[in-house]
Amino acid sequence: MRLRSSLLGLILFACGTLARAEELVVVMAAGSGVEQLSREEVANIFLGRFRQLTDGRRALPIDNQSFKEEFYRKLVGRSPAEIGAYWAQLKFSGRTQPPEQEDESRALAKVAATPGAITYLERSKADSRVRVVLELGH
Amino acid sequence: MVTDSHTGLQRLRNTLALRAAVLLLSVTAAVGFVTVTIGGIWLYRAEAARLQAQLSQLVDAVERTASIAAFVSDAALAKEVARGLVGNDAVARVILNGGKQVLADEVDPGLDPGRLQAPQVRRLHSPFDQREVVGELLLYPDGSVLRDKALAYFGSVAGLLAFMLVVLLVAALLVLLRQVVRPIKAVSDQLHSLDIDAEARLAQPHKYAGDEIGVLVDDVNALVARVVARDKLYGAIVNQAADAILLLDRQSGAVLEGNPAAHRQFGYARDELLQLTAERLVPDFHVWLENAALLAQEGGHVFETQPRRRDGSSFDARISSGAIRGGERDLLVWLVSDVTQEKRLAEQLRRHSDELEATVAARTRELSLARDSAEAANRAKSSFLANMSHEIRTPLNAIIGLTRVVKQQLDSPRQRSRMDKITAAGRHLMSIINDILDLSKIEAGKLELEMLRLELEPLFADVLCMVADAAHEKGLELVAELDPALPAALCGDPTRLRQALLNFVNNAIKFTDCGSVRLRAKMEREIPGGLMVRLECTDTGLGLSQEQQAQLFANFVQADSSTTRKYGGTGLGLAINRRFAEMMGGEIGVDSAPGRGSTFWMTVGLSHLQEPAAPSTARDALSGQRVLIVDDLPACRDALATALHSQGMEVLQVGNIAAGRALLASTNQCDLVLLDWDLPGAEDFAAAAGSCVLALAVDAEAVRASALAAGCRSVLLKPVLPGALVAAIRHALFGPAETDAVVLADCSAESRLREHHAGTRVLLAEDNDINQEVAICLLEAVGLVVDVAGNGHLALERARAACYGLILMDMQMPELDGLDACREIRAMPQYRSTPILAMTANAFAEDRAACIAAGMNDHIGKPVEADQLYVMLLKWLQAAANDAAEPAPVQASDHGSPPVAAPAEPGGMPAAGVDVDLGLKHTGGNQAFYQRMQRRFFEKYEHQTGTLQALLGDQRWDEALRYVHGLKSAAGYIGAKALEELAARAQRELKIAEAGGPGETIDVFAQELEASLAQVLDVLRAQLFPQECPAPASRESFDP
Repeated sequence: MRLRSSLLGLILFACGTLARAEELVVVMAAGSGVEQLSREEVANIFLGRFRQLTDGRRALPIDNQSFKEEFYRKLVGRSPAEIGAYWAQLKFSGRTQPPEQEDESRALAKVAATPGAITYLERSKADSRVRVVLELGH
Repeated sequence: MVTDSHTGLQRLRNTLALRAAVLLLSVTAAVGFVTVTIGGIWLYRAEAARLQAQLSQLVDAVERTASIAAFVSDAALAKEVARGLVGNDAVARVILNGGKQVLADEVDPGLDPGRLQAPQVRRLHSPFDQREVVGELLLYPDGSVLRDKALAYFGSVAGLLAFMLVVLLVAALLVLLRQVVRPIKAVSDQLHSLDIDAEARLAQPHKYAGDEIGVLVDDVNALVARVVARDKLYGAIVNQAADAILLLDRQSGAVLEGNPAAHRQFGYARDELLQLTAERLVPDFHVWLENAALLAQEGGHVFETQPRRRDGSSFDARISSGAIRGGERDLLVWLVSDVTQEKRLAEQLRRHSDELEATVAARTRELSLARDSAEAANRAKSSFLANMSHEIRTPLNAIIGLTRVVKQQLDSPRQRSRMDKITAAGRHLMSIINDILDLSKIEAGKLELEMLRLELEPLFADVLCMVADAAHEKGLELVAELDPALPAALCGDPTRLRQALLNFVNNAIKFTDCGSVRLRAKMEREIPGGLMVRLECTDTGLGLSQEQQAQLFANFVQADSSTTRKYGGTGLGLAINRRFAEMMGGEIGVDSAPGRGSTFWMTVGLSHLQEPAAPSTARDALSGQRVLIVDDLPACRDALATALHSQGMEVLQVGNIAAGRALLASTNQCDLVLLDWDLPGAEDFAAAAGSCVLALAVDAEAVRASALAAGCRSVLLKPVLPGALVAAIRHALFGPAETDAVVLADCSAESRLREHHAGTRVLLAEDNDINQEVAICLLEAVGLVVDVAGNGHLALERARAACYGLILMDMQMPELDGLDACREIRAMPQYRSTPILAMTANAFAEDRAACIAAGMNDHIGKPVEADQLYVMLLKWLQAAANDAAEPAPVQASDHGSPPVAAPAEPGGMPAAGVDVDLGLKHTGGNQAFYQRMQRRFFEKYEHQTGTLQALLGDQRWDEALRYVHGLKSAAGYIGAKALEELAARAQRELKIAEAGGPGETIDVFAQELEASLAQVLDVLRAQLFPQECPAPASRESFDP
């Protein structure tokens, strides 16, 4: 009985903590024509696997340096070091390039200005120029 | 050394050494090959595993990069990875497949494409998701690495092995040649040149003594020694043999060897003999050879031929030929025996045996002639004996018979006494002849005992009857005593027993001058199936000394040879008795002392009859009665007392009249007095006695009148036998009042015949005139009416013409002999049961059997003794009289069964009120007779029911008593026991009533008696007339 009540308490506490954090969303330019992307499509674009969008344009991923760690953990469950090692091997002889590194405001501006550009930020930062194509949740 | 061994190898291609070396090499090579192969396989496996591990490590190292290349389908990166892998020695080709297309395919430039092995395949997963397969890496190992390694391994090992084998082979060859082959070859070289003689011995090879080769040499030496010894032995046998022994070649017949005897026998020297062929020695050699082949394939055979010597002469020989195999050749061994001498001997022997046979045949003829004549003589002797007995007995018969006849007609005492002497002499002669004949029959083993019903009391009566006269003449008193423990009837040979008793008694009478002779039968002991009976004859005569007793029972011996003249006799009687006793399973003996009389005794085994013993007849009637015996002879008193005691009577005995008188005076309660009438003063005593007196006398006829006059109830003839005594007492105490002494007291057959059967017609069939006359005289003397027939035919005619009461038949008669005549007469209905008696001098048992078989009733030996004849006539006439009085049963039995033998239908049935078994016993087991008795009883009493009550009503006590008495005995006869007892009680009651006692109960008894009688009559009616309805008869029986 005591065990059950303490377990319930723990869960309520965890929910409270998460709820306080801002939701991370993936955004593209409002005029890009892309309504919504799946988590896999987002992962393929950011990890350099497929960057072709449905309308044939190339997607241009931009890392928001402020939320990079949180983003990759939420997307593929990897630490920034692992992602770095991944890109190191690809850069060694491959042709695929890692995403461009920008701060949040620049990234937002670049996305708003460039069709095909894609980045992630806190939902509260997403303004009318961009459209949320994927919600990564808390 | 090496060259040496090489030449050795070439010379002995098949040597032990080479064979051993090759074997060694083969085994080593095989083991080496297997070892190397197993080692190679193991090495290859290990190397292959190592290669796999190496490849795995390589793949592990590039897996991450390769999977990233596959993940992003980056062909450049993939190529980079593949190229790196192929650079490794062990890798022949690398293929990296992305999800859809081959990203890289790198091949080792020096690779032979045909020798690609199966690749090692590794799946490539997405770096971010282990579940997602993004491609695969195929790594083809380079097989040439392994192959090169294996080849190098096999090459080095095989080389090493080959080298080792060669070294081994050489070493083995060297060792074997030196250590084994050479010494063995040395031994074998010695053996080749070894001569088999006494000193033959192998030298021990140098340095090998004691090892296997040394032992082998020793063994060979021992074997050689044994062979030499045996060779010598057989050589000696062959050389010493008396018969020639030849060894031949079977094909050519050449003589290969011959022993000294062969040289001698054929006359050739040894060298000459060995040049010859068998053909020369035995001209028909090939014939025998073929025969041998035919006769015996495997063994040898023996033949006789005539071989030729060197000088051309020939001799008889028996040759045992045996085939043996000697090396490559078929050989024959011949053992040639010179049988010339033997043949000559055989010839002589044959001639002798022929002669002997002829002689034997001649002798046999003579012997068979002799045997025939001996048999003829024996037959002649037998028939002579039979004839002589006939021939001697016939005239003796005449002499004795006619003397008796003449004596009856003579008046002069002197002449009568002379006649008596003639009779005595004749009798003596007769007895001698009889004894001799008997003994010769016994000696010849021809005497056979018969097994017939044997009643001791009648037997004693017969014997005593026969000797009564002789005893009477000498003034001797005869006493008979029968052990009450003995059954009335047993099974044995009555004829022989009678003869034995007669011998005893005659002897006793002969040697006793005064006193008594006591004949006694005692129960000795039980034996299986019967009894051992002791028969004794005690006299008061001379007595015998021990020495005399010792030789008494030998043939022809009398106690004292001097007595022979005085007393006569053959001395055979006791010898004959001894034989009889032995034949009957007993013994004989004598207890005696000189001057104190003798007791001769014999024991005989007699079997029980099949039927159970008859119970003693109504003993209670006599039981408790008091009897006084007055007799001067203690033996006689004892005998009487024994008989009376057995009936439960109380016995007092005194030895003289005075004592008897005194006793009577004191007790006054005797029911009966038995008085010896020969005592002085007997008459007065009897007259004064007051009670019922029975007189006992030696000559009953003579004293009867005076005894009866003196008041005696009856007169009994001494000696008195128990049965007769008891019957007489019964009669005297309970019988009719009038005296009836004759039947019971007088046992003389002659007088009884005269009294009862005078006038009976008798047929005498006899051819001999003298015999006829004697028989007629004897028969007429007792009042019989005699018709004579001279032969069998006449006898038949007479029998047909008239009706005879009895027929006497001689067995040997002209025209038709007695046996056939008898059969014919028996076939006539009226003679079915008439007594027919054979008269014959043939006293043998088989004659007697033939008589009985022919239907005769009995047999009288010739010469006819008057007493014997009368006894026999009385016996059978009485039986016939019973028949004649009752003709009905004879008719009745005509319906089914023969008259005598077969039991009538109702027989044996236990009937209420009538004990059939008891009744049968009373009639001697004769069914027909018993039935007649029943019928007679029935007819007599059928209409007499109520008679007793009528008589009682009229107070006719005497008649009633007589009626009851008659009924009692009649009922006893037919076995109506209850009726008999009732009658006995009624009798007692009547006596009381007659004496004026209280007679009230008599009526009750009478009623009971009448009822019992009616019951018995009913039973008898049912038995006798089974077909009739019994109802009216039974009603009638209750009708007073």
